[in-house]
Amino acid sequence: MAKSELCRGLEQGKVRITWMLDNEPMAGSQRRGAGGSEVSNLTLPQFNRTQARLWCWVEWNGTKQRVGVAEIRAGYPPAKPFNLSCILNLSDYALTCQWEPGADSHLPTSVALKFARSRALVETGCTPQGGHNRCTVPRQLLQLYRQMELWVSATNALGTAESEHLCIDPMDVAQLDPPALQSIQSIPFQSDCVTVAWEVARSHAHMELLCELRYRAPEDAAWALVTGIPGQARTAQHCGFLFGTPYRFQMRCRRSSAQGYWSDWSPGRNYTTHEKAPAGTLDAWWSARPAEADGQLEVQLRWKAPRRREANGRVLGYRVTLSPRRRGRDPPAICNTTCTQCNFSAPAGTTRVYLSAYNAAGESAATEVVLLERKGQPLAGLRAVPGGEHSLWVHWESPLAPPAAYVLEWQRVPVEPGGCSACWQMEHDGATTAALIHDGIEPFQRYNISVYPLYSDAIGVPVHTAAYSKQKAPSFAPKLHLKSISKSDAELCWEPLPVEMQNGFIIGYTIFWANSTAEVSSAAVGPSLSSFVIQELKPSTLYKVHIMASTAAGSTNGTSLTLVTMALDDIEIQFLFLTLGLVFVLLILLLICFQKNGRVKQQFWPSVPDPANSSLGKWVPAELPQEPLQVPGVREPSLATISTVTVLERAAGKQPPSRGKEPTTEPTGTFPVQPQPYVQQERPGTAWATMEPQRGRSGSREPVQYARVVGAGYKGQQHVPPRLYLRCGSSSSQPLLGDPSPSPQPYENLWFHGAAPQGCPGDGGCPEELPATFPLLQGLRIGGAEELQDCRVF
Amino acid sequence: MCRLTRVLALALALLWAPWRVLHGAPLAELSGDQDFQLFLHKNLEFTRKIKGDVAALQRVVCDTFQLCQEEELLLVRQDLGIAQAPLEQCHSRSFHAEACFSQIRSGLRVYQGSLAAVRELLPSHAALVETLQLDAANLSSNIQQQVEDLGLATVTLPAEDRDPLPAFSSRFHHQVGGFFILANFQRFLETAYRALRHLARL
Repeated sequence: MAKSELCRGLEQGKVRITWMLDNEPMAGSQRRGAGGSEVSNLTLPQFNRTQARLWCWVEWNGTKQRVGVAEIRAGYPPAKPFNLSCILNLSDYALTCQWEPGADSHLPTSVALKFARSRALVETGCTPQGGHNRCTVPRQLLQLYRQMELWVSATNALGTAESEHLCIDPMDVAQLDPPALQSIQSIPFQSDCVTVAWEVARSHAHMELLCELRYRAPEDAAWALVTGIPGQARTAQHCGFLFGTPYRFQMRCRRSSAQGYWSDWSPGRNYTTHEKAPAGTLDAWWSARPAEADGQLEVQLRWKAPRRREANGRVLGYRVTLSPRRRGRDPPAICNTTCTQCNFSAPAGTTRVYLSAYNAAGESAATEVVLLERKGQPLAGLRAVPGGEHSLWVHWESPLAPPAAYVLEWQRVPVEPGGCSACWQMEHDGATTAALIHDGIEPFQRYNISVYPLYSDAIGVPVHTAAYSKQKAPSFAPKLHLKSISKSDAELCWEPLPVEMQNGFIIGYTIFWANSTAEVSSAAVGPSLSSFVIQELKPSTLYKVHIMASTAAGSTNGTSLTLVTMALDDIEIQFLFLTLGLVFVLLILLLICFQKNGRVKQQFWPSVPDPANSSLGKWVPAELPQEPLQVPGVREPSLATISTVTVLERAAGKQPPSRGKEPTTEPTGTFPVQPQPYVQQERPGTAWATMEPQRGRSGSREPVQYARVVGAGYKGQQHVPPRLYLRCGSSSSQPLLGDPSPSPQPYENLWFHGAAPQGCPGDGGCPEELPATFPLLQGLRIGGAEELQDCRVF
Repeated sequence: MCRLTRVLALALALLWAPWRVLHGAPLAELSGDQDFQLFLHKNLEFTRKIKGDVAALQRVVCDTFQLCQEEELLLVRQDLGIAQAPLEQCHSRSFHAEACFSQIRSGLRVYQGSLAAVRELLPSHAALVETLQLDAANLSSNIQQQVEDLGLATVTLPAEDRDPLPAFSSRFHHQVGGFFILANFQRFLETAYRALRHLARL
């Protein structure tokens, strides 16, 4: 609220009062108040900050002037402090208390630790400094050995809050100093008792303390605790310690009259109890076999180190003798070792050996080891299951005769180079049917386990089993090999995995195969098999095949093998080859037939006598009678039968099939250029007429009735003037010889030798006189012998 | 001489204070009270604590002033006139709880004041002496409150009895005075302790 009359310098007139909350203008309602004052009221409907300044402004000379301010703070009543606790420091007997503050009230809050002695007024013990939630009440304000009431009081503008009241005797919350261990001794000597002496701090001398002693050996998992020791006694005795064992001792105390705070544990003090000769018997196990040479018995004796409670100190070694100790005289030792096994040769027939352990304090009584035969009744059953990654539970079924004990032996597969001398244990309870083995057990390794029942007079025959403490997928899968392949089958084989790579029992293999169309097929194969035949494959198809080896804990895929099936199977290939062979053989036979069979040969390649090398006198009687035999039906008629000579027309585009193959049948002579006088063209030439058009056009003459002349140009030799030969009208294969000249190659197919007819030299070569006895030539000479001479220019 | 007279007067006042003995609860009833037993137990320990601190100061006096044997200082003691605070009500033959508690409280108050002379004597151990004074005051207060809790009669000590500091004529007398204050206090505490223990064993 602002009143104009209070503000000097304001001009009379309109006074305008405005408000600002920090920098935010606020609208007030201004009115004229009593006495000419101007009153502006402002109500903040909501205030959502913890603190702010509300400014009052008045306009003066055109500028806004700050004329007043109000601090506004918002918050809550103080929260209730909690978790108040105190501790008395015995060095200065000051009580330090701490607590948890409640939620922030956003308002200035004063906090104090209040206290009230019995029926006394409330006083302030201390106030926390520097924002801490703790403070210390000095000794002067305390009432020792009497209940005091303490609490924390928090006060702000909106109220006061108090914590729960704490009623304590300050001495009950004293923080004690730990006692100091002075000496530890074995008293009385040679017993398992230890006497501990300690001192309490001088400041605690007047207190009745109750203390605790704790101790442990290095092998112990936890401390052993001795409670209820009176602190003022300064010494305490405790028994049951192991001999020859290093112990660490600690002690702490608290006031016996109050459930106050324990002191810290005192600094540790070490003490090793004195040693005593080892006690008890040793667990021993052996294997014996007769030596090959000298009849001695080779014995491997193994034993277990005595348990801590029986070792009575640090065992320095073991002695093995063949006879027991008598009247204090030591028999000669066959083994004196610090190990827990010994190999030695004993005389044949040795049935007992004696084993003892010794330490610095003496030697134990000898354990008699009887080398019994292993022929007793075996177990009825045996199995092993994992007991963890590093242990196996072995369960067995007892034999009918109850054994006195059992021996379990285990061995890693494959056998480790050094073996494992510790890999055996004895179960002394003959009624037990299970044992946990853990020495040297590693995961993913196979162990062969043997269990021997021990009877009073024999050792039972062992029963074996194999086990893994943990399995995983094999390290790798076997490599597939293709053993054989056909059109639809492929036989695959693989090498079994080495045991060290199996990582578990192989429960089976799975073969996967797929072709390019991504049809994946698979087949499971038993663990004992090492080959598999994939059937019903498509012929001539590429397949990818891989194998997966599985244990109970996982599977591993092998590398992929690519194979292509055959197009044909073996029988089909054999059949094909057989068929081809047969065809070939038939062809050979056919050729041979052609070669050997004269008639057939003659059918295709008639034998043509070489007129040039024959004389009619020799030829006629020899050849003529044969002609009718070779050509049935008298292909070579006599002169009387020749009625016509016809010029054979060659079918257009067709080669007489026999023409190319019958070189000897071709006329060797030349034809007259102008055959008109004796050659009739029944039809003007077609094929050859195109080649010799002039000859076609000249076919208007009267045909000659005794001969037909066939004309044809050889394919591809159209430029060569067609040659004509004469043929008997009765289609005799015997050609008419137009060329009287002797041929140097009488059976050569001169038809193909276009130059041959012209090869005749112009100055001669053709016989001047044709043999008059040749019937055809005779006939030709009838028509005009002079024409035959023109063959030279043809 | 004047101071000596005052000290003697103080001693006489302590010894012959006008006790106002009233009938209180029988001891058999007290012995069964757990709170009372707790009180006894705690304050026995408290008494041991004070005794320990007094013994520590006696060692300091012995070490510092070579005043260790009481027998060697009997003559000077006569001159000083330092008297033992009375605790005859706490002796077993004439034990009376309320009177005993009153004598203890009264004696504690006397020694609380006398210790000021020791504090002056041993300024380097002033803190320990002050703690001792506080402890004596607390023990007295504990007894007072316990007596009130039990509904026993309480005695309001006359104001004039409060703390007239003994005056010593010489430094030596001051030292011997301090020595005997501590020695007497130790004996007083021992008697009080036995009385409390006696109550605790009932």
